[in-house]
Amino acid sequence: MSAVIEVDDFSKDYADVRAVDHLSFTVESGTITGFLGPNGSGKTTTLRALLGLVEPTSGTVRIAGSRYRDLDDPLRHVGAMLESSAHPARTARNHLRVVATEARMPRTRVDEVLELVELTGSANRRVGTFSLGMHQRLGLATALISEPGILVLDEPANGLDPQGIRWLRDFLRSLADEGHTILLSSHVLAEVAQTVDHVVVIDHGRIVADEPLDLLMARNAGERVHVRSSDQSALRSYLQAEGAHVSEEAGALVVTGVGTDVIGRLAFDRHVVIYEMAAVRASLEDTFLELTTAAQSDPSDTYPSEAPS
Amino acid sequence: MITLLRADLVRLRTLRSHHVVVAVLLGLVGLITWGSMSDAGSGGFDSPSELREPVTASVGILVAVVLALFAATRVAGEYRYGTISQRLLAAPRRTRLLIATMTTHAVLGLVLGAAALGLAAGIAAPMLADKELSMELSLPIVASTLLATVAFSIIGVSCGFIFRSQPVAVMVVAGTFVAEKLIGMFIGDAAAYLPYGLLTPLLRLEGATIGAGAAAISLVTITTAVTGLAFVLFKRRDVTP
Repeated sequence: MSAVIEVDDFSKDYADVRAVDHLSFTVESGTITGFLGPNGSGKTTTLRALLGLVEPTSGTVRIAGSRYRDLDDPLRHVGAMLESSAHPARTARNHLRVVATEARMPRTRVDEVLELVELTGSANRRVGTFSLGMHQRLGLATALISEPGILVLDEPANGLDPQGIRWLRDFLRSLADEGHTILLSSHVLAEVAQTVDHVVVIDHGRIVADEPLDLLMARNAGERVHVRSSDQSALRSYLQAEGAHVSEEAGALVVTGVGTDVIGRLAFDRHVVIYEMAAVRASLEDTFLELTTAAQSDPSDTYPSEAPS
Repeated sequence: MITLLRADLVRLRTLRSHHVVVAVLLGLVGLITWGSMSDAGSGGFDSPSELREPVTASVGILVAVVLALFAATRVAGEYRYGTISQRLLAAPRRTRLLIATMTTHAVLGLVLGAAALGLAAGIAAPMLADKELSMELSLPIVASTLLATVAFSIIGVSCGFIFRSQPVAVMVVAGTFVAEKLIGMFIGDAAAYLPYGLLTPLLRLEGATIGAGAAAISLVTITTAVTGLAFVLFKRRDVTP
């Protein structure tokens, strides 16, 4: 696989505010990469720089091997879904006709993408009357109209209901299966966790994670065990002696570092009666919050960015 | 470039409000012409220059100013609705996008100006012929009137790109008219060289203090300067949500 999106030591300042700080990552061909971070973390600025809408203060951003503005016929390479791209008084069909004309696509393509995103029935409705979910579908249709190989989607799941998120997930997965490369941003990891192969997490404009989602979860989302027993303080001491990390939450011990088998055996050996024991896998949101909160409390604790080439 | 122009024409065609603006504008020109020509021949209103004035003023001033407002609103609206981003995705080289937008509006100014003049002439000619009068709409006057509609359309586009806000762009285009009147009280004859002031000599209306040629050159200079500023700012600025 080769990198089709390359962000290399990219920084962006708005007046005195540094929105993005020496960000480096790549997106491999044929993958779905989640670009995650809290609101205001610099995601949109980075995506807009990729698309040539924002000029980097320093560093480079490349898509399909070039700066966006240097691409021949950019819409044929890259499809983008941005926050808002349609005039509210124009119908969905007419909006797509404009984009199809710009992309030099035949008018029949308009009906094809309308069908693809299941908006055929609303094609002649004004965009201003659309629900948020319909807006997102129209945004996807806009991005797909020129049959690009690379998709850059800014918060495509924003405001979608659970059915909408499932639809989006299946839709993006089918596109990835066809060989599309997709970079999508979100501020909610759970929204995209079942869609993406790889995640890049940023906070305050700096990268805090860049790895396959499975690895991220394994690294950050260790199992926690909640335990209630007949002698909490004794059990705590025994567990700590075993190398476990133990804290207390609402009267229960919260144990990390050892599993339920170790805890059960230890309690049995020391004659401590277990009243309740539950293994809790840290949620995606816990992982996400942990990553971004850690970066806030210690700005130096971030992934090293690659040096500019 | 042709693709961009075609896409912009599709944009123009596919909004109902655009059709309304054109219809209202032509309707007003027709109404003004019909109303004025009804009085032709009475009360000393019979010389070619007097008879021509309502026609050239309604097209060269009314149509030109409305087209400037329309262009400013439309371009600033691209920022309001975020559609400028989509346009830049198709045309990332900003100079091309700006030239395409200006060309679209210049052609619109030319076509609508010509249509309005044709409509006015079509209404006036039989009415004046009945009274054995003529307004002598010569080629230089037609050219000056069309220059006004084209130049003001381009100025409107530039204001849209410079201010990126519909209320501000409209306020500047409309407010300049009022500002010129106020400034004119202090600068005397030099007021004839301000954008709206130039329309009087350009259209050869009564009260002109400079020649039509000087007015045309000045209007082109002002249009070029405002366009240049729009180019510089549009190329340098980031496009943010």
